[in-house]
Amino acid sequence: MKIYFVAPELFALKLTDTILLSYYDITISKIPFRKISFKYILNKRQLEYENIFCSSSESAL
Amino acid sequence: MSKKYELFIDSGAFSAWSKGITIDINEYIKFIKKYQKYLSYYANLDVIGNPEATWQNQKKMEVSGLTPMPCFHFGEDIKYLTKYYLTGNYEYLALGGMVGRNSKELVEWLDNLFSNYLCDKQGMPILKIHGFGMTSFNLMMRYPWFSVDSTSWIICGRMGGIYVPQYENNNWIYNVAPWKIFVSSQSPNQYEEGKHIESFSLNTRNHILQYIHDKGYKLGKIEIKKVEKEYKLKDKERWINKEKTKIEIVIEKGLINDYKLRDEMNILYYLDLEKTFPKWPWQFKIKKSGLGI
Repeated sequence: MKIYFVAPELFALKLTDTILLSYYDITISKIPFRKISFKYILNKRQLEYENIFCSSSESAL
Repeated sequence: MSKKYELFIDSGAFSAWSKGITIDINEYIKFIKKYQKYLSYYANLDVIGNPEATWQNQKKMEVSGLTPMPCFHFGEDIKYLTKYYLTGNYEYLALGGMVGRNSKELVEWLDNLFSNYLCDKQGMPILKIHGFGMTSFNLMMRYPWFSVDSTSWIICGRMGGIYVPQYENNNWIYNVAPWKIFVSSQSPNQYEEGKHIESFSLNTRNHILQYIHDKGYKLGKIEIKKVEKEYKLKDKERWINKEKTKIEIVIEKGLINDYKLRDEMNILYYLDLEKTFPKWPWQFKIKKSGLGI
């Protein structure tokens, strides 16, 4: 069984890579850290898929 | 090394609905299309209390070229569940609407679904099932979920607690519900026996401390100090009463004074728990003896 962690803040993303975020939280709700986590994950995924050679120079969490 | 995040997007329809906000299906579709390549899964936009409208949203998203995960909710007519799987189009389906329901009604509902609809005659799951908001340890263990999501790790940590696996024969065990131990120096129940780390017997406290240290964390240290009126807080200090006559000074950062560290510990607990689950799919059998639910 896979466990998705709901809406972690940035500090927690260093421990887990299965994340659940909601559209409501990301676009409508006023909770800032969920938007920040979303952007961070997108950034990481983009680097991985589209610019894999940059991964070693990414700043660590 | 770069992490490969698995990102699951839920619509958040329930949160929106509870605040009187309606999510526009076209906006949701637009959003999913924009970020689709970064998402592992995304759920249908469910309409709370209206399974027909939820079904229509599923179809609308599909017509637009998306493949959202369908969601069937507690209390909905079973015909909608069969409607989804009779299409043969879905191999992964979510169950929702469970937050706030008591264990007894959830067991009754889930036993029926898993024994009559979601598993074959041998009890093997015929679909991958995701449990939205599956916070109950016993329900997580009872059914052959493919996946679940949980906020328990946040809620426990923010309330000043950490999950600690039970201890038996020199091993941490994960097939029984963990202890929820309050560790925060601000926890209201720190003097209640068997709840706060300071209220356990020396032997049990040592087991808890051993687990904390094994995971690489510390309890931390604080000092409480009375202060004069108009006192201005310095770095590493915070008020601990409304009257602003007492402060807590962090001497050493740790679980008692930092919610982020408690969150981390709780994530680690769930990651260890995840490793102990049998490999999916596994056979579902109704357990009559309760499991303490």
